[in-house]
Amino acid sequence: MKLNPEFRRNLWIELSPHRVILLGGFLGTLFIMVWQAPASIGGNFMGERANLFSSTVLATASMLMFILISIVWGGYQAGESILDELRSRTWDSQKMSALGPWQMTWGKLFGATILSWYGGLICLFVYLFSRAHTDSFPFGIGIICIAMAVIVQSVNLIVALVSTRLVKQIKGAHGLLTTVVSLAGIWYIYKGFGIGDGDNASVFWYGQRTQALDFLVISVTSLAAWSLFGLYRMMCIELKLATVPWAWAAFAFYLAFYIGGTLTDVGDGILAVLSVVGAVGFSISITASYLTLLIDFQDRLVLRRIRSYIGMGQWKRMFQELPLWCVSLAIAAAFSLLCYLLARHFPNVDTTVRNVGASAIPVWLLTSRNILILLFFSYDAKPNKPILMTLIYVLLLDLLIPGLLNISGFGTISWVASPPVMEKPLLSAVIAIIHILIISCLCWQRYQRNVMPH
Amino acid sequence: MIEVSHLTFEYTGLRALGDVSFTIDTGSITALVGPNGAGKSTLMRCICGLERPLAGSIKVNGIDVIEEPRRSHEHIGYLPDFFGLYNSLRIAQCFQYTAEANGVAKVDPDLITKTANRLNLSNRLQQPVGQLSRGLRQRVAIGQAIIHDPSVLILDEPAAGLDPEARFALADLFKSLQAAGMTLFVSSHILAELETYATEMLVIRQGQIIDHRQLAQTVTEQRRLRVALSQPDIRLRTWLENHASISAVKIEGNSAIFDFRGNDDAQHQLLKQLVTDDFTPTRLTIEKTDLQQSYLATMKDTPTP
Repeated sequence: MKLNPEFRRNLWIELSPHRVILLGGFLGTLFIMVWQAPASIGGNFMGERANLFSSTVLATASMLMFILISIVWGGYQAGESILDELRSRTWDSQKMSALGPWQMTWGKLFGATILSWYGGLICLFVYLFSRAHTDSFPFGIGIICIAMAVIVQSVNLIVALVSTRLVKQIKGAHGLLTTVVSLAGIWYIYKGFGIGDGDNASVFWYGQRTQALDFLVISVTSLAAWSLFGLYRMMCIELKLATVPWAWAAFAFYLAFYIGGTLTDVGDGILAVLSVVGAVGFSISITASYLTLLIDFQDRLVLRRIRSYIGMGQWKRMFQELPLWCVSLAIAAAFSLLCYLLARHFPNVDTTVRNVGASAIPVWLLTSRNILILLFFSYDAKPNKPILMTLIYVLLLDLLIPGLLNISGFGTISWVASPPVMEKPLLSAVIAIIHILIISCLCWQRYQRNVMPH
Repeated sequence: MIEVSHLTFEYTGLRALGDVSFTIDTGSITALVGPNGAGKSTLMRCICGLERPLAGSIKVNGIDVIEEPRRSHEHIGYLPDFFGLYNSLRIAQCFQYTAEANGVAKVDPDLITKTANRLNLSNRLQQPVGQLSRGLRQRVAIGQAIIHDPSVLILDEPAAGLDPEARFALADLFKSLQAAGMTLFVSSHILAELETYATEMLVIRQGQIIDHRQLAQTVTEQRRLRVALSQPDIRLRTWLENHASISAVKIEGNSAIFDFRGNDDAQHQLLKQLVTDDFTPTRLTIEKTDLQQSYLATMKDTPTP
């Protein structure tokens, strides 16, 4: 079988005999020291008790080393695999190769991190060995660890690919940030599902009782698969392979379905379940609209390309060009309609869910307004901190102007700037539409002046 | 071989390429020339599938580059103006990786040696790339671009930073690649260097093609001649201007320089006619019009788009 050239190139660079011996020797020495430490103390740490204590300390040490090597260092290495290509100007040659996106994805993901996987797997083997005598399910923990490392490394690689579009100066600091955020997420899930509370912890998903550890294994494994798939799609974009953004939509629906399951019970009826899933989906897609906008807003020609493809009747290309924030916003629109209809016709649900349903349409419109504000600033001839400017204007509209009006005794008209989405959703929708129309006109003028060719 | 049709590419507020169309024949060496910011690198990157244009189509070997960029890359070799190499790899490893990554079915040592020989790198194959000089790095980069034997080779400023000897060797290499059937598309600011190997010239200005001419044809069928007489003759200008195959007459003392359309036999007939009509030619020579002059004349004669 022919080895993936990208993987092999990374092996040449990363896996020198010196590094392999050094890392193996270091970990071996460390674990022997940890294993021998309780016995060397003597006193109460003798015999069976010392063995038990040694294995517990060894398990903790090996798990910590796994997190350090495979997740922290591996995550950093994964991000660097792309940033290094950009720094050394080899990325263009890579994009000019005939390697497919999947070959490029796994070649980089597992090639650039090969040394961290080597060290991490040693740690994991030691962990499984030290936990073999216990009644718990160490292999489940092993699967979770591997899946977590895949998630963190893939997300780091995705963030690195995205960051190359956002910033001109390429730094690796974001990798550390991504890793820290991922680790915090892992800890939150670990504690949230009560994994650390004992073997009998359980989770309810759509009302079905499941062992927390089993649920976590399935959750992180599926998330690892999604992160790999996301990385693959991102690589397709980088390699100029046209894709229709259905995968992003599928992921948003998956998240709504997955998270919704932890908040509802099928026993409450299909409409109740739909209301919860809809509210979760709406929240996710609105958040995703903002996040993806931060990735894509600097491509000022995207709407021009879309307009050009529509003009030429090239619908497939038009869909291929759609930025992710447009897709997220479209999904949010679908969820907002679902939430609104369910809130009107099925009011016997949780108050929070009902509130989300009632305010979904004006919230969606206000999100569109905020997106237009960012586009307005990004269409400037020389855009200067458009994100910061947008934040200031949104704060002005939603906080400062209404606050000032309230203080001045004109509280009743503060809704002109910040519509009361909960109390008066219909009025809020009308006001938001007026905001949108005004900003659209300003955006269009700037677009014609600064983005259209002269 | 390369078919570009109605290609339009924009940067924000700037049309970098506007409705560009041209065809480049198999086995030619086309010099892409134009001032800074004319759109040369953008055009090359579009042909390579590294940039997605706003409109138009690009075909290399009949493959649509925009629809199937990865497949087209098997047929294209590209050397960017600012290229990079893997400094910690040895030259042989660089060549092996690039060949495999470009879809070469079987990468054997012979292929690596053959490529190294073409670039005079055969005695350095085990040397790490990070230790090489600028000229040697350039050769490695070209080796990487040609190792998969592409039918089209696109080079953006390939001679930048090379010494005269290395440039001369590069010109020889390009001619040998052309002789082997490769089509070359080369951009450079050093026109004298392009002249030694280019067969076609494509002039681009402000994102538009303003001239596309066969350079080899200029030498064989249209030539600029200089006739020198033993003494000045006032009849000469009128006589030349009335000749059907002559244009652009310029008198310099007892000499005249003019464009002549015809082959060697026609040139011989011209000399005979001059003698028959009582002129006193002492010599009739081909006045070499270099690429630089040709380029400058095109830029001067073509109005700004």
